[in-house]
Amino acid sequence: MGNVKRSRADLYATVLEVIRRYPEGGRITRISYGVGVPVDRLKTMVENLYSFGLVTRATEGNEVYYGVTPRGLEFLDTYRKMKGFLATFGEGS
Amino acid sequence: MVDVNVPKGASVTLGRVEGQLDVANGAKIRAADRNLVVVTGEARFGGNAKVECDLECESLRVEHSGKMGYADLLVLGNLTVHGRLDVSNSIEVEGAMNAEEVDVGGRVRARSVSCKRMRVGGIAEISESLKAESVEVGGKIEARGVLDVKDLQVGGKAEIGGGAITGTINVGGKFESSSKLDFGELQIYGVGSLASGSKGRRIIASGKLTAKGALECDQIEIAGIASVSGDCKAIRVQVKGKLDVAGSLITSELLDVYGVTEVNNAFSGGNLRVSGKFSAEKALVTNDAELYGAVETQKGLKAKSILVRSGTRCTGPIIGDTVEVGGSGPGFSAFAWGQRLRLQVGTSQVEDVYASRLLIGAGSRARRIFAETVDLGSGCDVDEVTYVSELKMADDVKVASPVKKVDKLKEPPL
Repeated sequence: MGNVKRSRADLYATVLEVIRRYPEGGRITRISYGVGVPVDRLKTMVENLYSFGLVTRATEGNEVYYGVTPRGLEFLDTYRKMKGFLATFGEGS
Repeated sequence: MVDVNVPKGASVTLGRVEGQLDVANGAKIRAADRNLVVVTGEARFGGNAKVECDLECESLRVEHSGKMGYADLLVLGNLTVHGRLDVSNSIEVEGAMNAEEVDVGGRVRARSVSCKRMRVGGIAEISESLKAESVEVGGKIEARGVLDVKDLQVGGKAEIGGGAITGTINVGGKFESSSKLDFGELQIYGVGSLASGSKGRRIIASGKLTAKGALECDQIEIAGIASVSGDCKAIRVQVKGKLDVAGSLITSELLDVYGVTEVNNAFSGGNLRVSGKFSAEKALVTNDAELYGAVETQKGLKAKSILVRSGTRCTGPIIGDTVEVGGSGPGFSAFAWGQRLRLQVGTSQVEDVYASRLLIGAGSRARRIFAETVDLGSGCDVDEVTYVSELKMADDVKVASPVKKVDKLKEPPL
């Protein structure tokens, strides 16, 4: 979203933001359209988030659904607050 | 059951479809009459397609074509979906888009949108009006027209026009409203900007908030930096960071300053509590003012009762029924973001004080005192004392000029 290169933390936050829009669980393709990142790249990121304990993974038939854990929501909250501080200091938004 | 099937790459003319419409990738649809195609069941698009007229259907589903950079479904007219609109990647509607529920994985672009719930994973661009009960966008929303929304949740950036968002606005990154907005609760974590004349119930800003003109809001909580370029009117304001008001600030109940508040014109309010830095042209407080830190006014601070805590420096006259200078300072819990931690030396400094009952605590410094009754504690240093009925003074009080007892005090400046 935008022309500025997103940092890894920005990308992880965006992925979590998109996943949290699907309380019933989000499929990787849907998340990929939301984040604006190809599925293959996104898969690695979501798997990383899963290993950090920030997202949940549930399988239903052939489909894998992802959700955000309380720790993921905590990360998002902290990320937003930190961005708020940086905006206050005049460093990015 | 599929009632009408449009093959891959075909251009077809349709009127009313009884049942389900299934459209393959790369198809074009035109209307047989009245520039409208009606589908009584579900319209399903298996890839990218173009509808060159209005489309009305019971429900709509669009699968992704795999072609990036293009809208999967482009509707040149209006789109009306009585039930759910489900687009896996993107949709573009040149006219109005009406649906019960909108669920778009990637991007939605429309002239206007009216729905109960809109959920967009990536980007929503609406050039005119947006009417919805709930709007959730993972990335960015750009809706420069009039909004009539209950709740708006945006992960990244929200650039909106004006109108009303009566519930909660929660924006993770940047929020900007270009016209007057009536809002319920506005939660900003990053950078926020409100147009002049905006009104709301509550603002929680932990980043940087700018109001480009007058702002009216019942409760304002500033944890970052906020600036209001006009007048600001509220019931309660709490400042843990910094608040700048270019006009006047009115808080009918309480202004609570832990950080810094600078008001270019007058402040008026029910109660004032400062544990940081406060400045205004003048401050008119109906009830109590409790001051700790640095307080500066050009024309004075007036309250029913004023408590100037130890270690406070007060510039400008203070006027009250009861004034106490040099009461003990707040505990550590009152120290907050934006406030320097410093060693308490216990002395308070005030300039001219006008009061009915005045108590100056030990070791405090005052310029001129005008009061009915005066009580000066040990080690006080005062330039001038004028009183009416009673004066109590410790032995080691220093008064630079002879003490005056008068029948009537001179009028205070406020």
